[in-house]
Amino acid sequence: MKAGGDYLRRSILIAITLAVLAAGMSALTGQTHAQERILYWGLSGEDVIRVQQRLKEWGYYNGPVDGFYGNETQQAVVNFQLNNGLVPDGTVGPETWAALGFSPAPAASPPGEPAGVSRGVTNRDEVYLLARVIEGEAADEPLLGKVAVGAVILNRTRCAAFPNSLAGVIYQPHAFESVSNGQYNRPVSEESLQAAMMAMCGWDPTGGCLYFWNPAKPVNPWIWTRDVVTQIGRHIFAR
Amino acid sequence: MEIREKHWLWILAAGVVLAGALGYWGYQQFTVRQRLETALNNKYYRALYDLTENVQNMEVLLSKSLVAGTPEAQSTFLMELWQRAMAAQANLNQLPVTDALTGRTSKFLTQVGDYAHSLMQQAVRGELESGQQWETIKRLYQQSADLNLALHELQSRIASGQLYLSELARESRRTLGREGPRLANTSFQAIEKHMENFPTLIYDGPFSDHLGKRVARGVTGENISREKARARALEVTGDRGRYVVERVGESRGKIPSYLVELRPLRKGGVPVTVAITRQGGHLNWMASGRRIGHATWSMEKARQKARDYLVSLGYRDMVPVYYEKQNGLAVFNFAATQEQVVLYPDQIKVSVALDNGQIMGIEASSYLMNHSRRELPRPRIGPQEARQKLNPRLKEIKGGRLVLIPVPPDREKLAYEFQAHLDRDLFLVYIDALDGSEVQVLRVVRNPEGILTL
Repeated sequence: MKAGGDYLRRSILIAITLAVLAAGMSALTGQTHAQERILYWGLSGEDVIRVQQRLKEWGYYNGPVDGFYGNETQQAVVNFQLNNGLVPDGTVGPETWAALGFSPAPAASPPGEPAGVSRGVTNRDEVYLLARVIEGEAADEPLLGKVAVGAVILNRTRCAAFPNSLAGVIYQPHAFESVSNGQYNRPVSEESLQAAMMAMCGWDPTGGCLYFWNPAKPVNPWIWTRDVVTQIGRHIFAR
Repeated sequence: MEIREKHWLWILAAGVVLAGALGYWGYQQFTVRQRLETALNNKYYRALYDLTENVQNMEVLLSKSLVAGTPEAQSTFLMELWQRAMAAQANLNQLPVTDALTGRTSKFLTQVGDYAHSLMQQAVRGELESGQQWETIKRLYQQSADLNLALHELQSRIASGQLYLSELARESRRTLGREGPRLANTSFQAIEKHMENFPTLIYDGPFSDHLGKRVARGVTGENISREKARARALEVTGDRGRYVVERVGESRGKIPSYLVELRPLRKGGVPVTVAITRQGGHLNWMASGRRIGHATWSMEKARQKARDYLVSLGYRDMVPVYYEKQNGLAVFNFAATQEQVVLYPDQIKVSVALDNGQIMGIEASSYLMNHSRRELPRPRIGPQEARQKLNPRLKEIKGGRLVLIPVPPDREKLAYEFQAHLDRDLFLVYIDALDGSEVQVLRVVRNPEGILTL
């Protein structure tokens, strides 16, 4: 009996120690990822106001912008997370901060800056979405390869055979592997963001291509019937 | 001994509990997965049924517009046709089938919608001549009837349990999203086959077939050799330091070019790629990237630097029209001018790093596509007269310069440009300099990254 009790007590102790360690670790990594603190139920402050403001602008939150993280705010965060492919845990961690448009990159423009006359109409969300897919598809490519992937995505929006919006092209089933397997949810590097912006501004190293693929990976032979234009980095680009 | 037995009992109990918990957890996971799959399946079914309904309506509307007597009736049908086609395209692109299998169908739907829209605009302007597009509509009607039939066949196979759409999604994921299972793919392949004889549509809209075949108006001169391209690339890098040519590639895109990769001689420099057009050796674009530090340059200083750089390249009559800023990188748009008229289609973009003012890139492809000497018409109305055409609710009206603006799909109009406020929102309004009509209204959106016009 005594031995059993001891065993149990010891295992409980170990479990608690592990849990505490895990919590500490996650808090630590959270801190190194972003300068924003992690928000959860019961907190209050300036940053909560920013989150509420943004959720309100985007139609997720109807309550008062009072800087208190209550039930309503939590529900809004969960809804936002569900709609954006994040883990719906109701806390605002680095990924949710990023998805809300407060980029974790240190060089990003300071959040909370008044947005002038704009009322939520910016192309910033689009640049960020594009950057995420670029990161997912071409993280190891040089800058030019990243710009080229961004340009292909944008060229598709202007082509009749593809959806006519950026989100339509990106979320088209099977269009991009990194979107299908969730790889594009990784944190975005500064280079990908730069590449996305350049592609949006009109840089197109591919000269109007609609397809790209890595010849080292198994692909449908159909793709080789396309008109190959050039190779940049490890990707082949075609019209 | 007694203690030992108890010990075993404890372990056994813990094992049973663990196994039970594991089983419960596994079952939970299983049901969650099943529910998700059903939800996904239902989404796909909905997209397919919506698609079928929309295509059905398209077919009916096309046949109705064939028999419509008055332009009013016709434009009502055209408007609905436009909406139905756009909705059908959105439905189609939600289905878990690769774009290789839906591309032609998607193009058909987009172009029918776009065609209907351009006919509708002609009807609004009173320019619609019945009879002229009769043949085209008749062919489109035939095509949509075929599509309709194929979709119905697909649906009946789903209804009889021969085909599951989510299966399609799972299978195609396994083969890297390039090849789905044969069963479903043959259905879509059959549809694509029907679309093969879809007529080339030449009309007045952004997705018209003839637009892809446009030639670059600004690219002139003789074809140049690789060696010439090398020299040209080193020339345009200007004050960026000294480089050696690493490799010269080629690109057969819209404007065929040599891609010259340059490696810096100085330690810590960044590689640069320059695209020089094969015909004429024009600078098409240049790109380089690096981590950009704390921004110390003001926008004015950076803009001046960008302008000086353009002048050094020989582009003298360029005026800044727009800028955007992100993460320490500023992109300035410059437009060409001719006889003091700003040519908006002929733009060159220059990106400047705001930490040390280095020119990071240049993009001249839209300039090369459009630039040529224009035959500018004489304005028939003066700036004062144009100003009176503005909506009287607009306040703080400024500007009034002559500009040439692109009008989709492929035309240009001479217009007066005005800036004006409505409450706190800033608008750009363009009044046609020939007939005084309002060509375009843009709202200026200011955000921390720059000025964006919508």
